[in-house]
Amino acid sequence: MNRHGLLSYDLRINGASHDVVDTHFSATLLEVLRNGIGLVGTKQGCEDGRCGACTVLIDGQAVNSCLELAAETVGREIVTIEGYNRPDGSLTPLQEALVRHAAIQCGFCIPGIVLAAESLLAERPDATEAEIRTEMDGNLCRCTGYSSILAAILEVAEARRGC
Amino acid sequence: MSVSHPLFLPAISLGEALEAKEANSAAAFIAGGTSLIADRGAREPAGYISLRRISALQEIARRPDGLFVGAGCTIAALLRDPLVASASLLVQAGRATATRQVRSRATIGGNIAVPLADRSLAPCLLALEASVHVHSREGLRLTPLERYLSDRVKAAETPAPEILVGVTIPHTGGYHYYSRVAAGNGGGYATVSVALLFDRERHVVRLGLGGVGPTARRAHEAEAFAEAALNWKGRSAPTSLATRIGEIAAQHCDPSTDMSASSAYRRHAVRVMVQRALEEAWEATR
Amino acid sequence: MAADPRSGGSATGVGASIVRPDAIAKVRGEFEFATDLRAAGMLWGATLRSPHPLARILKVDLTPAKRIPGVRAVLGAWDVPVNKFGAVDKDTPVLADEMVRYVGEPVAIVAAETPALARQAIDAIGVTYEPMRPVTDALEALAAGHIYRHVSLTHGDPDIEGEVQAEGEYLTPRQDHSFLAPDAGLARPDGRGGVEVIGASQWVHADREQIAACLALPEEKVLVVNSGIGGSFGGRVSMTWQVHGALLALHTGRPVKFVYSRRETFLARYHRHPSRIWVRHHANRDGTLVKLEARILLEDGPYSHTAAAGIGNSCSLIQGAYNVPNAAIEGWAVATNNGMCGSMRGFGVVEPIFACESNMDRLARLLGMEGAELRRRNLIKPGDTWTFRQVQDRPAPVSELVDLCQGMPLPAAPLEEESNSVRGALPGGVATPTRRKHVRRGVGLATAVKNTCFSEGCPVNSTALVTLHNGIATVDCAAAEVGQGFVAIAIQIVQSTLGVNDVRVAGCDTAMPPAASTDAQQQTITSGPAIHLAASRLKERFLQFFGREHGLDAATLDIRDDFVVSRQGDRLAPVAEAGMGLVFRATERFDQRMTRPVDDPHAPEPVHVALSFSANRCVVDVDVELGLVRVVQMDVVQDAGRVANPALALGQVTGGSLMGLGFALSESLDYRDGRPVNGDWRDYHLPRMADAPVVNCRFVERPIPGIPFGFNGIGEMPHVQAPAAILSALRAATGRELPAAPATAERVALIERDALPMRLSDSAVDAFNGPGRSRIGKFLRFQRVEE
Repeated sequence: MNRHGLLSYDLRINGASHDVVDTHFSATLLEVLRNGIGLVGTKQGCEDGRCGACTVLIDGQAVNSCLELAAETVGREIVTIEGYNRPDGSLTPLQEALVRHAAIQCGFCIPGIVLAAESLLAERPDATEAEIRTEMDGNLCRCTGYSSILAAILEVAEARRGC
Repeated sequence: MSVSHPLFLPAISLGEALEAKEANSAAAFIAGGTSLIADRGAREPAGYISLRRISALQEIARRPDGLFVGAGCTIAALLRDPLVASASLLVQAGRATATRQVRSRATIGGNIAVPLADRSLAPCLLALEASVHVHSREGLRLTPLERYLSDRVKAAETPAPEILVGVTIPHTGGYHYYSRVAAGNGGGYATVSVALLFDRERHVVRLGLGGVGPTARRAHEAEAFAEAALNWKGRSAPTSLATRIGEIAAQHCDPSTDMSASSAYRRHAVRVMVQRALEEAWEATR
Repeated sequence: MAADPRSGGSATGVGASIVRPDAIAKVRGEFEFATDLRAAGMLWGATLRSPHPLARILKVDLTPAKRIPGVRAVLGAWDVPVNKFGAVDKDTPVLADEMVRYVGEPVAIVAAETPALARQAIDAIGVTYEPMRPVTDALEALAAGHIYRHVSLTHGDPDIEGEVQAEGEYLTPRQDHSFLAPDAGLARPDGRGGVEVIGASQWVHADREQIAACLALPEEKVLVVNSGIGGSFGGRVSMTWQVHGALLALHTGRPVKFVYSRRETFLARYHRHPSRIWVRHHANRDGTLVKLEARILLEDGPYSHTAAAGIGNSCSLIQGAYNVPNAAIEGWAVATNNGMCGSMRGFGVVEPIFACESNMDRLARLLGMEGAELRRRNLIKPGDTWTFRQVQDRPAPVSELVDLCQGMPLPAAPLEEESNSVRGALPGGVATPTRRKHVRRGVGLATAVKNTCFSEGCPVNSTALVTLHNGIATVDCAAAEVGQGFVAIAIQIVQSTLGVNDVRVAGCDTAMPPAASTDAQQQTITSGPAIHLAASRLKERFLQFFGREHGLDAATLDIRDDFVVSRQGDRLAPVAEAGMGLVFRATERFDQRMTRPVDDPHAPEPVHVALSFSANRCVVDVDVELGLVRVVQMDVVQDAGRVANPALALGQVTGGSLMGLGFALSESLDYRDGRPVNGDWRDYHLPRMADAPVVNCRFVERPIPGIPFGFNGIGEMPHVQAPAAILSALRAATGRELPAAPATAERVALIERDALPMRLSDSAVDAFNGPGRSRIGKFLRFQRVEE
């Protein structure tokens, strides 16, 4: 790696400023989060943007961090699962629903699913079951067969709608 | 606020982007990045020129000659925009493109600039008879999309650097129908797609096909046959005619065999999908 | 019982759906997986892999890599003290020496300061290969005699003929486990000449034995520890990076981490063996089966791995859940250069059940009978003898399963679409070209049988330690938690047996004696009893102590709900205080009954420790013209010994069913000329949320005798039955034969027009009656002879 390919910049992650120092210009946000800063809650499942385990929120939108250049995200508000979590250790309604529906087996897909589902419900509070199924197309799970995950998301959506 | 470096340049104007490309011809323009980053593999890139901050590329506007959509508009942005709703084909295809995370970033420009078989919006833009605005040192030029795509198939890189600025979709009426087959029932990457603009008043049939050639294509032969053969004033469903139109479309395309499907299946699917598209458009516009 | 989908509530013990202990860490992204491991001073490992399916290695030049600053070690075959390992037979090189035999085979390894440097070093290594013509066709391998195992079974009168005969040849794909967490791990020297290997393993003791042997170290010098595991499904049996990491760690004196990309995870690992199976059912006119003939060809890779076990399973269970009075069954596991093959969920049984059920569909059509009716006529019952000469001496509630299945309500017809959201319910998903009028609905029924535990003479056992201190119990057991939820079940067993509610589960490593491998749906049925026995013994000791302290007869005491109680249930003292600060322990081992090879009919032991059954009624909607399929609903009734945690058990059924759906409709890892062509998640199609059917599930509990709580295996069966059920429904919807999985759109739409040639039928089989090596692999790792 040639030294002149290295950049330093500031990223806004979970409401705080993080110094990214001497990092290759081609580094993805996922690499910077996991290897640079040490936020390992965001997972890498593939390198093609097909599995969604790397999902983070950038300015509220669900994005594959494995396909996002870290340098592009300067000035944006990035939220990872660490920032989504409540500091007091309690679970959000979505997290609690996932636990209660036994939607957690190996758990590797879960951080990505939490963020993808939250952003979906924020964008589409009226999402029907059919819409949730298609709009969660970016997140793979190999353990659960999805039914418990879907049930949890649906329950939270309905609760928010006051059903 | 952004970071700036010879190897990563977030350009704020088209001129700045072109200049950077002239200075480092091996650097890649990057907008959404969903294809570029996924495809780079282990190769170390020679540099990126980001187009995300160029405001001219983000515009969506109703203009006298049609709807202008900036090349940098993401699919998610297109799906939200009320002006784009009138170009229903784009909405139908946009919703079926890739995954939600990719739709947050993938741009309409990226969907055209790299002429691959599975691009979802290009067939729609062809059916809508869109033109592309291309910016180069010589200035801005307007080219029909069909011509732009065939030029790109012949030569992936142009000799002088140029940037896709946007597309103009002429104002048209008509019934818009899009369908696609992909592996599975999730979003995904289309194996074969059909985009139909069916204007019963003006007796116009426009068919864009995806997945049956090196890039999206217009089914000119099928269109011409349809326009001539359809009994536009008639009421009864032209089933055998729709079948024939599908056959012509299937005959005049160039599908290949790859991981997703064989050329035989693609040809078969396009025949069936075109037939169904016409039947449905006819029914819907009675 | 209907499966309860929810976790939580106040109930504890076996039968409750307690929340698993790692749920909160996982839902907050705080649970550490192997990919997340880090250590101070850590180096990054990388692997040079063969680009050829078969080649001689003429020269390996490591020096250019060694010269790169920041590269701390570059190792080749001669750096490995004992360069052979394997799950059963030790025939797999750690690093290829004279030959490479599959694309992806490891040739050299490096450790460097950064991942980029490690990759640079790999690219700098020079290898000269002399490519050779690989064996890429299983039939060719069979004819040439590249046979790992040949099994031949007859039962009853193999020459009898039935009035009605139906035959067919069936194909199943190479399937990838595609667990979400890529292969990864960390190895570090322990500072005393040994090494610690932290990663994701189904069987830490099997890994230790092999790592130590390869390093020429005694086992005590190798500690294998499981970190969090992101899914397994039978895919973490063979080691990939572990010996490499250990070598590099010892060589450099520093921790070495490996993280594979998804592509490398595909390339480096084994996959489910593709199969070709010929079946001929003979029956009377009323549908009762007279004889089964079958020839089973499993394509395995260039090294044996678990090939022998796979074909043994296949030959024994090709008869399905049916009573078959006469049989002639033959099977081969053969070697090709199309990548490694081995265990995956439903190992060696998914394929024969698929073939058997497909041929039963064919027979039903021939007889003009309903598929369900034909099956009912033949379901196996207690007292019947299997083709492998094992009497069904335990409950076999298959007809009850079929009844329950068929009694479940069918789904509503596809709705008239009005908006895009409803159209999503038709085959093809969003923007589908399908409309209601294009859809035909089909209903199919399949039954299945699966063995629980390793069979054919492989010892299966577990040891557990339970500790009680100040009212808190801890379980130490080397059972691998791979996501299935065994950690919750371990807690529940202690709750039920010991009567204490606060139970913790310690990590899994080789500091404990071996547990069973998390494999063959055998963990709950093996480690469960070990934990139960240890908790029982612990309770005895505790109550003896309490009895003596208080002048009471221990036989009149019990522990319930964290209290020492009298026989009448009066609370005498809280356990937390009654222990008086002392530490109580018990260590117990549980062994499954011994088994024998399938083709050794004279030994008295059974072939399988236990068997379980299921029935699956499946509803599919098909756009026949385009071949688009939506699985609408699966009604599954599974025979479980005892359901420890209903919510987790349901999770196995929904998860396994969807994995089976992938096998049935879209998953196939294809090789051309010995090269994988779709080894990534772009082109290897996994089911997504929109593909998930409604799954209704019931369990019928028939406790297995001799097993505490009566547990039987649950986790593999859903994958075993789903492909057969889906294809059966597809045949009903389309009227087409569909002999091959995956039933892609092309196949369903009959675009792939070549009829499946009968290559294993009578006429063709003479070509394969050549000499073959017949080796039965035993899992000889843990011959702890206590007899």
